[in-house]
Amino acid sequence: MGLRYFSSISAFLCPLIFFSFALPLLGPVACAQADEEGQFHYLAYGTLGISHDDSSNLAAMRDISQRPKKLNLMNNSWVKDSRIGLQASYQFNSYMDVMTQGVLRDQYDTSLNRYLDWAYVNVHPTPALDARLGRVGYDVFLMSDHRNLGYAYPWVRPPVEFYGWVPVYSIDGGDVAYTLQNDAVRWRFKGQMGRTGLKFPMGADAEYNFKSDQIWSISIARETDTWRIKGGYSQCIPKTDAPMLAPLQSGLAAVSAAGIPGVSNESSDLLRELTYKDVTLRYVNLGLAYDDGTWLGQAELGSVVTTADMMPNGTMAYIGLGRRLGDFTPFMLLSGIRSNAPVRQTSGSWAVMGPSGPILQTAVVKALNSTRFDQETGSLGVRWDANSHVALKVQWDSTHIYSNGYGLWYSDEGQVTKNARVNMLSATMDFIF
Amino acid sequence: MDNYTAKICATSRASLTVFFLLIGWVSCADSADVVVIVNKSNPVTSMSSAQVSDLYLGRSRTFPDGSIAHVIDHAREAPLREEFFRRINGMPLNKVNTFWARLAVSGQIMPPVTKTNSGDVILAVQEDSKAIGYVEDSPLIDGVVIQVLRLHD
Repeated sequence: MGLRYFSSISAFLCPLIFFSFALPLLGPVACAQADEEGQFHYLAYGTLGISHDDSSNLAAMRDISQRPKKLNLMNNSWVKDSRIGLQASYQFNSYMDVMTQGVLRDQYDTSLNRYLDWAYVNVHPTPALDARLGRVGYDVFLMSDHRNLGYAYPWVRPPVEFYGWVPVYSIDGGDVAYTLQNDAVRWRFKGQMGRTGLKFPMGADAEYNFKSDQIWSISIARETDTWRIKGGYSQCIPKTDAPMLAPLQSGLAAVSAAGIPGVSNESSDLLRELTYKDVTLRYVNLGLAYDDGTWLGQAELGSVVTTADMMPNGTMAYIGLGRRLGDFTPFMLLSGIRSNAPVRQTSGSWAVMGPSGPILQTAVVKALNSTRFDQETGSLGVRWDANSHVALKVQWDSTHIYSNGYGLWYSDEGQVTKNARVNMLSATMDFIF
Repeated sequence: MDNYTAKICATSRASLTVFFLLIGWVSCADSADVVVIVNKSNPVTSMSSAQVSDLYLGRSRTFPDGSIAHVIDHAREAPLREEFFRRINGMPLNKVNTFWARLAVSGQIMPPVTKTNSGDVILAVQEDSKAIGYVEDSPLIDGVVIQVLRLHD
């Protein structure tokens, strides 16, 4: 099934990729045409970054598609924020273009397919209408479609509390956008639909092969010279479950069927929560960005509601503020997330099921609590625009993580029931050519 | 494009480039007016700062009459580009560059074609009936292209 899924994607995307990258090899023929109508565009961008934190038993992630090496030797990480992106596009005329973009970044899923962010045909029959078909950027939050481009924002990385647990970068399908220009105000209405897939690490030696044929989003954006407001809604239903949950689900089903008062009801409740498959995720988001050339600010508020607590959910927000002083932009950032799922507790009543009862209950509770997020971060930093192509940044983060809220960290077994504070210092060089 | 026309274009391009460099046209960006130009066949004869700004920020793809515009820009770090955006909408160059980086990488719009000097911009506007560009004011552009907007310091 998985092979067929990716084969069908590849059958569509490969010609697109080949087309975009191979056309320049045609040399004089293509270039001669470019003078009349067609035009090639190339773009290379990336980040070289390092971060150091003061925790000996926690390892940070930029997003949950990463799996840090065993608690990061010396707590330094070169790979977390470093990445390089290549974009090639060809504009046939004013009505059609093709684009491909690959981003090499640290992620658990190392299949070649995962490094291809975009490959699509874009048709705009009128100047106000864009219709894209292929692999398109997932676009519901303010920074959804450019979070790999560190050059585009002041801070070192998008706030982890907001973007760290939504690692869907692209969907295979299409989108339609309509732009309405009214004097100094520009409205953009956009809808997307398609499917997506990604492997997530689960602990040391397990993974979840997330796939969904039903992911869609709608967004409305309003832009002026200084303000950008964007509201979005997205929905996704995974069609796969994590294999590591299967034994727990079987055990819960057996306990539920046993008909033991108090225990079987609780087991049924837990069984409903302990799944990824066919869970409905609903994202709602409102973002606001301001930039008058001197002051810049950005804030987003979002909520994710799921029909089962195993699937991460919560309410998240951030606010950032910066001021340009020539080529330097000092900034601050506050971000936080609270899980909507309650902290699960074990009870002694499962002992009536024999010795395996409490063991099963403990394992289930631990699994459900492991995907909770409950933390907040304060950050200070400065960006220096060294030239038109390079920006250097330094950022200090102080993160407070609450017990049973470690979903954005790799941690020691005993740590998850305690609170923790982690300080992190990061330095990056962002470039675009 | 036949060989003769291509030769004429190449000669003109070289001559204009050398001339602009000799008279220091490119380097005096601080004082001269910046003029926005379109092809002589373009029915649009004047534009507002907001309309030009919208084109150069990717917010619009058309001239005021609704026809498609081909935007021609200067290199990212060109002093004239910095001066142009300062006068047209007050945006500092690092904001413009950040803005365009986001638009380009997110695929919302194709970035403008860039030329290395004003001579090439004029030639590109001469050759493309849908083109729009900006250069420093000079008697050389009179009768060659249409000025649709003049930006004073």
